[in-house]
Amino acid sequence: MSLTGWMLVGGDAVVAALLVRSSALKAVTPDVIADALAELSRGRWRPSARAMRAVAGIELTAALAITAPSLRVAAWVITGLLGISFVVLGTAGLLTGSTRPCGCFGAESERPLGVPSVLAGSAFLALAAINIADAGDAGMTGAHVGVAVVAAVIVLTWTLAAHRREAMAMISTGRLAP
Amino acid sequence: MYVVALVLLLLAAAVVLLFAMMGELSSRLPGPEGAATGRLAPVAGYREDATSSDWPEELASLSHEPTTALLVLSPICTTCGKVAASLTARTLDAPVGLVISSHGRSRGEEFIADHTLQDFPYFIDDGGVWTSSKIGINQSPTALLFNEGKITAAYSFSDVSAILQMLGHKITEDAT
Repeated sequence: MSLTGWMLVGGDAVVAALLVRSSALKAVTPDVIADALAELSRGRWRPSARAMRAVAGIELTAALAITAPSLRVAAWVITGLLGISFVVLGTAGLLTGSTRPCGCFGAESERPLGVPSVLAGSAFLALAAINIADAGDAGMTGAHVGVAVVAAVIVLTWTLAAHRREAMAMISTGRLAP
Repeated sequence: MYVVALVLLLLAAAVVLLFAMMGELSSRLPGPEGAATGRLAPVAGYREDATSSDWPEELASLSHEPTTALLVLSPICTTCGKVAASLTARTLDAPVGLVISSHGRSRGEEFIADHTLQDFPYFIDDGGVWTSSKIGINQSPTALLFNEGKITAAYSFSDVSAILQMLGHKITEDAT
């Protein structure tokens, strides 16, 4: 596989990892993004926790489908649409001066909707366009295993780094405790 | 081989879920005595010249207290709803006033009625105009601490007991 192909595997894996983290954290704490969206609409509309969990389900489906060669085009169409929504919401956050943390991509920071959402959404869109245009490339059909493995490594490394204190406590005490 | 890779990715997702659920669980458990202040985050950028003379008439009953906390809450924020629900009878004894920052007075009054907060001194801040112009704060929930009528600190918080604990410390210090 060419260098460009490996770079695409890396890019796909990063997107899959972001979607996995985003979906998992959105499923557990749907109120974070719901509050951020309510702030955008100045309190006129607030999505329900169930709706946010449905979005989390779509994100996880897209992440898993990215790693499946037969679902590649469908996966990237969904990912491209998610990218558009991130760009729109990030721009709206910038224009309205959003202050509430959005928990975007599962980030544990207090950042509101804004520049990071616009940049990530643009990257999603660019990768979606490349992958859809590249869908017929036979050289990429064997790369899906690599995408899944690299995505899993990114997710695990990121999560354990973000929660290293809790992870060390779990290892030293041998029990799951907050 | 692909199945193994997919299972690995699903396991990674499960690990994220596990840590997220642990974090959510720990945020709902009461902490040990003295740990409440850990749930406070200082808010910068408030107007340091704000005094109780800037307060609206609705909060005037608190202005004679040596140490006071004004809790800025909003009907659209989930944490504010949880804070409002936790404002128990114990809190009524503390010098705490509420500023409900809402888009429209009726939404603010609804919030007060929904959480039966009528016994607190409260002020409906339509559009958040008062908090942003007089205090320089535009986020909620925020606790504004006043000492001898002058603002001394602003904190973002998720648990009202942390604020009560802080008020308790200050009241004790004032008495000694």
